[in-house]
Amino acid sequence: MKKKLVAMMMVTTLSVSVLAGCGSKTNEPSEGGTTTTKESTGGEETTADATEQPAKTADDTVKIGCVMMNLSNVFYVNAMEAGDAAAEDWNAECIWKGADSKLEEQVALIENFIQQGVDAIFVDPMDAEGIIPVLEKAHEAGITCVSFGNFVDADFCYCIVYDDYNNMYKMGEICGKYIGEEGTVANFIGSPGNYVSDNREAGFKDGITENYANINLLPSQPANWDAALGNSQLTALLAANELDALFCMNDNVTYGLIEAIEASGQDTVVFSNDGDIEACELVKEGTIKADCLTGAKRAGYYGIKTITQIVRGEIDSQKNYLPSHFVMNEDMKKFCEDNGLSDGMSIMTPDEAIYCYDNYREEFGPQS
Amino acid sequence: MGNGALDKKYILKKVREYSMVLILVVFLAVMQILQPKFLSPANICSILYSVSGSGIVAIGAMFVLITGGMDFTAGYGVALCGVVGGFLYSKSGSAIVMIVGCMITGMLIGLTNGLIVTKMHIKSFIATLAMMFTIQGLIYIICEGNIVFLDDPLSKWLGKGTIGGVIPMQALILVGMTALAHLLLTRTRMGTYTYAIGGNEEAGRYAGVDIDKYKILVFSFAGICTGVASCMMVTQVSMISPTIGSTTLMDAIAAAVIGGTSTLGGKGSAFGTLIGALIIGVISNALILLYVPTNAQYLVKGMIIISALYLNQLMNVGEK
Repeated sequence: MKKKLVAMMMVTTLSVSVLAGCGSKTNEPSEGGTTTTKESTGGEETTADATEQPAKTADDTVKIGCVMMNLSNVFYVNAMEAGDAAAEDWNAECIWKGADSKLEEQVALIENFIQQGVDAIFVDPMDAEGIIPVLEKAHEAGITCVSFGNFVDADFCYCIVYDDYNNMYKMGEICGKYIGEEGTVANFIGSPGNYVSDNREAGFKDGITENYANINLLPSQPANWDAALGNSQLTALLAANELDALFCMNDNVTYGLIEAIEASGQDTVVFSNDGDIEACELVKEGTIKADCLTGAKRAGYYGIKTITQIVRGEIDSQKNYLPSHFVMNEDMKKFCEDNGLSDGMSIMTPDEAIYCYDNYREEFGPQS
Repeated sequence: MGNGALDKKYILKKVREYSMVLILVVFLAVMQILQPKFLSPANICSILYSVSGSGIVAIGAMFVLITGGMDFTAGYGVALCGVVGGFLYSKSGSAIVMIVGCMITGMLIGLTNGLIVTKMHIKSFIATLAMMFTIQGLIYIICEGNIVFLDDPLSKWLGKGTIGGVIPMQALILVGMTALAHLLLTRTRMGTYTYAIGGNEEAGRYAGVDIDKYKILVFSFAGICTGVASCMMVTQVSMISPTIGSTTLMDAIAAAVIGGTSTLGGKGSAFGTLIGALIIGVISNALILLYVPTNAQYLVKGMIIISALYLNQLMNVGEK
């Protein structure tokens, strides 16, 4: 009896947790009268129409199947929260799924969404090429395909992307100029092969190497978005090098790197990316010299809003760039202006960026 | 003559026993030649910091491997312990509450693994794989994307404190956990039965050993190790986020196997695992200091690990 009870408890705990973890959501009515489907397990038994569907009107709810890399990642949690807010504002319904960072899981989820007959698929692909065959299938079923963060090279696929290469190129220019055009610089990336990571790495690298011949840019360190791993890597680098500056492409890892710098006692200047609130606070106190605000929430809101506009025929551009802003203090802003680095840049103070981070509705909402 | 042969046999036995230590020494020597700053105090500390968390996870993994099982929950387990600890810290502001929370969460993960394996009769390989997904889901539910910064003096001391200004606190904890694991394996009934389960589980069962009880104990201990490792990693970076430590699993299992733990069960030692963890740490550190290009780092690391394992195997040929 006791054993059976334990077994039943374990099965229940496991099932509940697995359902929760694998992204199974129940329908919850949300403010504004729309229905935000939060992680539903399952598919309505509808077969997608293989013909091109007519454009929806503002009164039609746009049903979007969202396939993210991993819903436990801070970025996607925030993007999902804001995406649901956009669904409320723009009359859409989002079904969010995490793929445990596996391409094959993303393919299976998209197949499932095709069966459900969603209006659009919003995917942050693990592999921008590997995802094309299943997206072609979705396209043939009349579903609008939109990639998130990652550019998918297929005519029918729309993309919500950051202008990462140009932003990070500019960051490289600012960094190099700030340290006097010479010295040693380290660069911390996400994971090689990831489009966003590769693009940001290439931008920063080119920004340094094309402009400053006397800067020794060390090989990039793959921190895999893990602050503890980044901390270990930087601790090793600092043991053998005097680092003048470092750039890290995501704030979450930057916090761990700052700890390593403090422990080493070196005077390394830090440049980062994402524009998270905590990072903006560090910009304010001078620990981070410059950051670039993309913001997971802004990206999530902008993504869902743009998809509804594409489905309704209001937008036709294949590449849709999320507006981004450089975050720096007044003295740094003046430094950029004095050195001719601020052309074409949108610069915000940390306080403005913090406000912007959470007020995405004001920036991109129907009233904007 | 007879004594000479005996001595030779004895020396050979010792060489085999400590083959991984020799490989580690060779690594250190080669690296010192290639990079003169490799054995500097700062870099030695850097290696110790980097292996302390994963080394403790490796000790837990070693226990499960000795029983012939496998535990895939360690990586995300570290992250879950941290997230729970962070939640408790944000509510209480106390590092002690956070530490206790991490340890209890780790123990509960291990306990659940043990119960699934023994009471539901699911192979540990599959059970812990399913638990890994469960843990990911729990991280998502609990964390909701929040980052918690640790500014408590105790967490600062745990993360960056040193003894005598030289030895990192974290390295001492690793050594302490290794000693505890050694005592458990060699001086307690739990240790004897851990080897017995891995050697021949059925024979142990016929001999009246409560196999299920000891398997649950082993998984729970592995879970506690996960909790301790989580505390160390989050205090090292003074923050808690859901991705911290999630990349630890493979390094930990590799460290245990390099350290002589058999994946078939019945064999392994705490000291060997410590050496395995150090070898992994030295390789990772070397790749950074030799400026190996990013894309080649995983490849080179994998190849060095395979070489080390093969070398170890060659040195142990004829042992049986």
